[in-house]
Amino acid sequence: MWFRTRGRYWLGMALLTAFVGMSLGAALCLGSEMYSPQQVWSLLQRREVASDSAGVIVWQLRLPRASMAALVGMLLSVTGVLLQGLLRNDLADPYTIGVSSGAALGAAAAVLAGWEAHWHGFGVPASAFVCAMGATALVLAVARRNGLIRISVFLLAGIVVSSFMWSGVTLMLTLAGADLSRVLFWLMGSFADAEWTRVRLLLPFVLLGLAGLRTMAYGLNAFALGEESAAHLGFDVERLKRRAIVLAALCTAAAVSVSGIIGFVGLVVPHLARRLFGADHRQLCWSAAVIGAALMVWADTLARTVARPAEIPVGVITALIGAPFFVALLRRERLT
Amino acid sequence: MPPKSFPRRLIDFRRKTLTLKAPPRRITSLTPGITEVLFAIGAGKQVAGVTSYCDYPPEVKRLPKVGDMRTNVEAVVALQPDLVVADGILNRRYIPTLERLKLPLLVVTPKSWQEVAQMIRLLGAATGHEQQAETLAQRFQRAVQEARARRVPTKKPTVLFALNVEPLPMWVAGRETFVDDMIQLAGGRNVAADGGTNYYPLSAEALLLRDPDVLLVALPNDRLAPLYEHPVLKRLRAVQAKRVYSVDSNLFVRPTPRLLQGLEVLRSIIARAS
Repeated sequence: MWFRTRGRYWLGMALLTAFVGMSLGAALCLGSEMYSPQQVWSLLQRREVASDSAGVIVWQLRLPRASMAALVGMLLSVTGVLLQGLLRNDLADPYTIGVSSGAALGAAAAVLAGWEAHWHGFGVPASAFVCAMGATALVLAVARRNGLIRISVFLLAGIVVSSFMWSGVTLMLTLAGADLSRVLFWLMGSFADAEWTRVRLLLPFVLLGLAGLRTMAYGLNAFALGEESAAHLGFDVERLKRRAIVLAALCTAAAVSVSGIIGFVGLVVPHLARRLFGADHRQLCWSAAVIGAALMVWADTLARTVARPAEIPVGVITALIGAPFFVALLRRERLT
Repeated sequence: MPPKSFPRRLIDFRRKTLTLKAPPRRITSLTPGITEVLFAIGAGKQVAGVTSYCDYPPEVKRLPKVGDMRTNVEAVVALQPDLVVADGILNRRYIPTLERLKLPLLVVTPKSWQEVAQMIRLLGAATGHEQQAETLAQRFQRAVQEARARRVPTKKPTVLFALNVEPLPMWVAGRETFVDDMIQLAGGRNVAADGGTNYYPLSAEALLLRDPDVLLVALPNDRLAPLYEHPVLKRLRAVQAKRVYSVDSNLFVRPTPRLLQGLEVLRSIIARAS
């Protein structure tokens, strides 16, 4: 579109980055109690941890929460780009490869086993992360033959393993009965648990995801022409596939284990980024990350504001915004 | 009041009538709360089936089970009950089936303190134990009168009742819960009453702004540790003043006579805080 030419790309990215900054600022102002931008600014300048409620809310609740939303938004969008590129499938998203169902299984098991307080509060995320990686390993094991990964088999294996794991989750929830609403809340995704330790844990995954996608950009661009063409162009396609899948699994597992399953961001954002900034993965990796961050920050701000003082799962908001948006995008694509 | 003789007509919470020809001998209870009431009014010997969640009084564990919160209708029918007591909310999925099978069904929907008394009286009338039921029901109503008679403290302590700590958000008792009634009866103010009905997820910042004097958590003590470690939760006034109490949720969420025990627990906690 308009931002696809080189000079305008930088202009567009600058505008978007400014928008992310504004969104973060808005996220700090909006909530159960509304603060004016001046109020928030003066709170942010007081570096020491304030003991008044406004200080705690801005520094300890909203800032880590908005940061986490931005990071998870980036992770899911980057993974979406990675997988849509690799699988050459417009419907691929971070959850196609079985990660989410594995994480859900791990988290549900941990909640039902009462591990919430274990490992300094990391019982649930740790269990979710391990099971998410396990699920991906299972998908890879199914899809690999003679050291080769066939993309079509990989897709199918992802779907099969996902539904298998989901039945496990359903079975557990049915047998457990109690604790149901809390597990469901987690499954719908939420940043309510945000704190700085989690932000610090996510950060390396975001850097890894961005760096990984950027280094694979040429390979993914070639992949768009088809697997064979990419091989003829001299790319080691099998290595690319392995690295992309492992990277996608790591990033998604990190995101899902701290925030639950937040749908649609990883599906919609890559499409949006491609429309705005073009399909070149060298640029797509940055543009998708920035759009994902902004979208998720707004989704989370809505999640904790619209029903205040109660909150709703952020996954509900992303689906409510994402689905109609995706439909609109599809309709426009067909016309042009 | 002399016990009326059978057959008798009963009107349940849905305003539907049921005629019992004789005192029921094979009652099937579909919730732990109903089971507790039946035993409390002396109808325990007439109970033939309970749920696997029923755990009070301890002897109910020996009785045949008809499912958990999901009723196994076949198991109910197999017991050949002469009275089935169901909860209009918890068992609502199964009520149409139970009706279709023409089982003698009473539906109770106790949502408030007063309605628990009403439920106790109904079950008393259904089982032929109206006198014990009346005594028990009156204890519920006396609790309300006593609370009204007591002088109101100038500043009511603020109270929050939560079902969990982690993962956040905490699920808290809003309006139209027994806990909400009980907090008022015990002389406190439920800080989560304005946020919604039933149990709902309260956002952490709303929790911090409400900053209750007393925090009740329906978890064992060893699972309250996150409250003292979480960067935000540990700032709560209740946490700093060590006014966090681990309570047995069965004394607060089930519509049973044991709510009176829960009320006593609450009253002593609130008295300490004010």
